[in-house]
Amino acid sequence: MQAKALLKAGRGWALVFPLTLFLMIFYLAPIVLMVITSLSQAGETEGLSWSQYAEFFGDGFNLKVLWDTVWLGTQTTIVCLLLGYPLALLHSRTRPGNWRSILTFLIVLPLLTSAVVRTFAWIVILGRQGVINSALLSLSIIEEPLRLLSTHHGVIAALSQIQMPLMILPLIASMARLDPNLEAASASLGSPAWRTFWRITFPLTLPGIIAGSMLVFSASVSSFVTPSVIGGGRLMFMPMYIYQQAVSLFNYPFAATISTVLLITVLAVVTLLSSLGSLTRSYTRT
Amino acid sequence: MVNRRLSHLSRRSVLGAGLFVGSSMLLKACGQSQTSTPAPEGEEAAASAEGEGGAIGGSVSAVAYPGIWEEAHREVVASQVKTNQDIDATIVPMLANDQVAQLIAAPDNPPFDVCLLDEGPFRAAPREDILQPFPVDMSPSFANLFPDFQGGEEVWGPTVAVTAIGIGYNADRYESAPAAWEEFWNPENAGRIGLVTMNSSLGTAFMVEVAKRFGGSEADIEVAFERIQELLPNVAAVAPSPGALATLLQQGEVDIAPVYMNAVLSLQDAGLNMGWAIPEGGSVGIRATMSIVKNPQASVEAAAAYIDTVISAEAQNVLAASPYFFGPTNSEVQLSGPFEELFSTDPQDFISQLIYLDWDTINLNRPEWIERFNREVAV
Repeated sequence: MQAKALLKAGRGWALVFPLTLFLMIFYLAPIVLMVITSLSQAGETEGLSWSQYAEFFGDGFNLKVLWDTVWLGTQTTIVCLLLGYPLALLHSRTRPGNWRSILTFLIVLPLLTSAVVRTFAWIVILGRQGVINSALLSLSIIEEPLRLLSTHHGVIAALSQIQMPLMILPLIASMARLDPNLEAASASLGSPAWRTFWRITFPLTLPGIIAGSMLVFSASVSSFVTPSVIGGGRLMFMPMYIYQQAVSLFNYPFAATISTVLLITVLAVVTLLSSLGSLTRSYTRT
Repeated sequence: MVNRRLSHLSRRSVLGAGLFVGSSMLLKACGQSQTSTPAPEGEEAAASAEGEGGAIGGSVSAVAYPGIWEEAHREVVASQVKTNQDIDATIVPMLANDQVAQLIAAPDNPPFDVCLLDEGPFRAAPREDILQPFPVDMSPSFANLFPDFQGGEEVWGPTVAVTAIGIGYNADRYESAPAAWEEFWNPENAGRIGLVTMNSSLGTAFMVEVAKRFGGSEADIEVAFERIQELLPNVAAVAPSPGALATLLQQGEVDIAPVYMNAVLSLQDAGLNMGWAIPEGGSVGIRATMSIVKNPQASVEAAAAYIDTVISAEAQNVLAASPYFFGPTNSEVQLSGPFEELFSTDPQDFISQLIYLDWDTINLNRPEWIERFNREVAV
């Protein structure tokens, strides 16, 4: 019996072998190389050392870039969640049919155009003579055009729109698993709508929230085009910083160090979020 | 629902899908290996080169900077080299530093055959490791280049174009052209100024010119950094690349900025009310060089023929006119239009009116300057 199970498991492993091999060669090996590069010393000195990391963490500018990047990711995630959750809820409450298909289409639509095109569209929207400023000017709400491009908030607005589907799709998936009888039961027992939401709907869709947040956060902190085009040269985030060190300055060890720091930061946040996920699983079971 | 559908997937359909994906990938790989097949080398190439006036044939992949360069080289150079030499040219859009990075990373298997570098990156790159000397005898147009543009003694490759740096401005907002770089510090321009980071030749040349105007030099631009600090509150945007800066000017985000002449002229050509002025003291010329890389996939004959086309009077007459406006390096080119208004019809006058910077000196400090600039402008 046991041998049979083992054999079965073995067959499973054999099936994933090609993918494992592929990931080992093209994913794991480059990451290992990157970490080794980050531990090598600048110049001709041989041997491994932490000096690049000491340099990174010893400089306030680098810490600020790291913090700005994490903060950007956090803000984008929150905006995506606040705007995406109601939409996902609406989607799950719409009866399957034409309207629902239209909603699905609209939600997925941004994924069908390239991020570069969407980013340039945001220049037209946020610009000094852009849609927002011309509307506000013509309504006499403002007298001088607002500065929206080249600002942290402009980057968040553009990034949130671009990453939105990554939040909404997991939310929809988790809402589809939600048993509508639970909400009906809560209502029939006299709970007002808000309590039903906070005690039933919200906790049961937490796995979706966590999955969506992980995706949006990691996609935001590693995005390159949108922050550089919308943010311009005065806002520095980790991906641009890596590019600059590697390509403009040919400082590969330091670029590898920044990349490793970013990788570890993202992993830490993802681990934190998934540990929240396991907490909620125990909550939903009781 | 989903589960039930999943369990309905039969072995046959999975196998079928797998076969489909596998075979299409195989097909794609075959197609790629075909396109990357090296052009005839050795005997075959020599035979075709020997034939008097015979076309060289084969294919070559050459870099052009993204944007107007890429468009110009695709529309003009690639079609001429096809007609004249039957060479299929692929244009790879890439910035100078990216090219150097890729050539250093894969010197034995470079991703393109012909590179395009402007002075800063060119003088800083390890040329002996990544480039090969230009075969002058394979290039009939080489002799028509101005002597300064023949690549000096080492001849890594000819200068293919000169782009002038000046003051680009929104002509709706200015009655007369801004006269000098000092105009940027005029309080009237507060909130309208665009700059570009020093990662680009444009940004570096601007900073060096500012330094020179205020008493500095190629070796010392401290004064420019001090001046930029004063300017920062009035700066509307710092673009990450020259192309992005041109976009900001076009969108009306900034009204005055250091820009390449051809960027503004092509916006003008597209109907925008833009102006470009030569700043007091002269306009900096940036020389762009094309070289054949070491170990190219294409034959050296094809690569040399491509570069020869870029420096031919036939191509440069088109490239110097609307809508491209690249400064010529071939002495037989006739200039007209904005070149005539701003400089002269004679390319000799054009190139001798420009200022050329000492990039060897600049490159000594450039990495530190780039880092410092990015730190100091960061908000």
